[in-house]
Amino acid sequence: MAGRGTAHLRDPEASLLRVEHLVVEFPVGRTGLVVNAVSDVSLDILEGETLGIVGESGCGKSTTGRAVMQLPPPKSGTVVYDGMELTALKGEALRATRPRLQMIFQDPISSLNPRRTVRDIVREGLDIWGIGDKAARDAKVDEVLEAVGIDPANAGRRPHEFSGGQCQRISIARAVVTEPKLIICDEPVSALDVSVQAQILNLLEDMKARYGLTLVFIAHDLAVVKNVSDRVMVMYLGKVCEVAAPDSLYASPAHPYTAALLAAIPVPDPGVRPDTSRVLGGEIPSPMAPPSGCRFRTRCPRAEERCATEEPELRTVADGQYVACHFPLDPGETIDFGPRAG
Amino acid sequence: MTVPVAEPTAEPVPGAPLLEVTDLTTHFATPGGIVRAVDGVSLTLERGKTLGIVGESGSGKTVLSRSIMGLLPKRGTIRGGSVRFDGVELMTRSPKEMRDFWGARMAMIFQDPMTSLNPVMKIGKQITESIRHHLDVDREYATELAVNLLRSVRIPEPERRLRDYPHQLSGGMRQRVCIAVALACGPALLFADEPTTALDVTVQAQVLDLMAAQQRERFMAIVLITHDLGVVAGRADEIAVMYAGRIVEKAPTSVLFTQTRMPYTKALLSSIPKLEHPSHSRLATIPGRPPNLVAPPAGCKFAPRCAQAQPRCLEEDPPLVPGVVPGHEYRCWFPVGTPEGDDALARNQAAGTTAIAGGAA
Repeated sequence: MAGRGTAHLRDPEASLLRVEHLVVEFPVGRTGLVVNAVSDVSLDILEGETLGIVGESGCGKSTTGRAVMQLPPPKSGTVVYDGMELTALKGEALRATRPRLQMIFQDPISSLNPRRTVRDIVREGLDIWGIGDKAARDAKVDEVLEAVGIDPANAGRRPHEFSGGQCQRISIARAVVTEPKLIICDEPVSALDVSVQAQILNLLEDMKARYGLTLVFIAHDLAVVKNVSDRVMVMYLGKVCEVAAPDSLYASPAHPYTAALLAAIPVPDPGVRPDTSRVLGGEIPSPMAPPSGCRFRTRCPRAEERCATEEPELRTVADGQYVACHFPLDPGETIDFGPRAG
Repeated sequence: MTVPVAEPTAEPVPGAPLLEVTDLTTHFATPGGIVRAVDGVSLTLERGKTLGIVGESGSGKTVLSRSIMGLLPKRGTIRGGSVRFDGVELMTRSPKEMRDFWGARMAMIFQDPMTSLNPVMKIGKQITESIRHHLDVDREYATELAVNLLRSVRIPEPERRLRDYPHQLSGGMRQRVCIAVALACGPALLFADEPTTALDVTVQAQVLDLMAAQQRERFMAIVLITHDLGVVAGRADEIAVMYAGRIVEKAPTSVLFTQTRMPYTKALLSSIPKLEHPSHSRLATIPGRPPNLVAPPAGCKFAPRCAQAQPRCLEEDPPLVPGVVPGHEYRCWFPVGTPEGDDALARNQAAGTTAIAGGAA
C-alpha cells in the first residue's frame, strides 16, 4: 500500500490546499539512519471540504498535518495554501499565515496553558495580531465561546476547572477566533468519552457551517472519520493507500488495508461476533527500514513478487475512488487475513 | 506445559460464585465533602464468564474495580458492603493479607501500558517477579514460564524480549506484556480497566482476541471495563452500565442491546458513530454533564440529562427493578420501550422540554 502518485488530485485552481510529493524525514541520532515518516504523499482539499486522514499510529498522518503547517518544514514537496507556496516562506512571512491556518490537538488539557484564564487563551491570537480594539476583541471572544457552548461568564476560569470535553471546546474556540480558512484537527476526539466525542463531532460540523471552515480531520478511528469527512485518505507507513468518498470507502474498500481497518472497528451489536480471521495480524514495520515496493506487503495476504519490486501508483478504480495497490479488492469482495501471525 | 497455580489461601466454598459483591460503597473524604464514587453496587460473576462494566469518565467504574481488589489507599477512603471472592470475604482483609490474592488469584490490566510497567526493569524480571513471589519455583523454571507466557500472548522472539525494557516495545506489545504479567500465576479473575483505550483499532482487536483466547484456555473470569459499548458488545456475557457510582442497568449482553430499558443506556448507544450511517449524520448526544458526586441530585441521578424525565424522576430515586428476562435489572420510573416510557417521551417532546427546563446544557 505503499503508494504514491497524484491521480487523485483535482483542479489546482479550485483547491484551497494542495500538497504534492510531500516527504518528511527525521534523523535518528548520529546513526545516519532516518525515519521515513512521510514518503511522497500528495493531497488536495477543496474549499469547504473535510478531508479525513486515517491510519494506525506511525502511519504519518499527524506528521502530514504538521508538515502542512511547516512544523517542521518538509524535506521536499510543495504545500500550496490559498495560492501561497508555504514551503518557500520563512520567518515573518510564514508567521503571517498562522491566523489563517489553525490547529486543534489531541489532548485538550495539555494543549491549553494551565496558568492562563480561558479568556486570555482564546484572545491571544487577536492580541498578537492586533485585531480590533480591546472591546471588539472581548466581544469576539464572547461570541466564539458562546458558539462552542462555553458560557462566557466562566471565561475567567482556568483550564483545570473544565472537563476534557469543555477544554476541547475551548481549543476549538481558540482556533476559530482569528477566522482561519483551514483548521487541521489532529485526533481531536481520541481522548474523549463516546458521549462527549459525539458532542465535539457535532460541534465541529456546526463550526464548519457557521464560519465557513475547511477541515483536515486526522484520526485512527474510521467510524469517526467517516462521520465528518467528505473525502477520506487512508495512510500506512508514510504512504497513501486509498482515497475515496467515505460512503464508497465503507461500501467497497479497494485496498486490503482499508478492509482490515474497517474489520477492526468494534460493532456495538452483540449479534456480530468479532471475526478473528478478518483482523490484521502483525505490527507496523520500522519506518527506518520500510519494506521495498508496497510497504503493506509484509502484512498483506495478497502480496506477490510484484509487490516487493514495484511500488503501486494511485489509480482510479471507481468514480472518485483511488487506490495504490497492484491487486485491489473488487466491490463486495472480502479478505481473509488468516490465522493471526506475530 | 502445565502452569503451576497459586494455592487458594482459604477453603473455597463449593457452589459459590467466583465473585460476589453486595452493596459495595466506596466514598472518599475530600476537602469539598464526601465523594460518593461507588454507591451501593451489587454484582456476581461466575468462573469463565466476562462481565462488561460501561460508563462515562467519572461514573465510578475504575474505583469499583480498585475497591473490589482492595487497591485503594486506606487514608480518606470509606468502604462498606461485602466482597466475597471464591466464598472468602475480602473487605476485612489487610493489604498484607491481600498480597496472597493480588497477582495470584486476581490480577489487573491497566489502561496505559507504558506507565503500568516499570520503565527501569527488564520485561523478564517484571514477569518472573510475581511468579517467584507466589509460586515455589526456581529461577530457571520461572524464566521458562515467562518465555512461555510471552509466547502465549504472541510476542515474537520471546527469549530475546525478556532482556528488553518497556520503551523498546510498541504500545500493543507493551499491553501484551502487561497481560503476560497479569496471567503469570494463573489468576481466576482478571480485571481489565480500559485495556485497549490507548491502542489503535487494529491493535485493539488483536489484544481483545488474545484476552478471549486466554480466557477460554484458563477458564478465567474477566471484568472488562470500558467507556465504549462497541468493545464489550461482542465480548461480554453480561454488561453493567454505571452512572454516578451506581449500576443503572444490568443485563445479559444481547438483552441489554435488544431490550434496553434505561434511557442512559439508550443515549450511550446512540452516541456511537456507526459505520453504516452515511457521512455527516448528526450524532445523538447526551446534554449536560454527569452529576456532582459530593451533592448528587435528589431522585434519579440521570434525570437532569434525560429526554423522558418527569417530575417524579426529580423527587424519587428509582430502585433497581428486575426486567422480564432473568438477570435484567434497571433503574427507571419510565423505562424505554414500555408504554409509560414512550408516553413520557412523547409528553416531553410535545412540550419541547424535559422535567428540568434548561437542564440541557
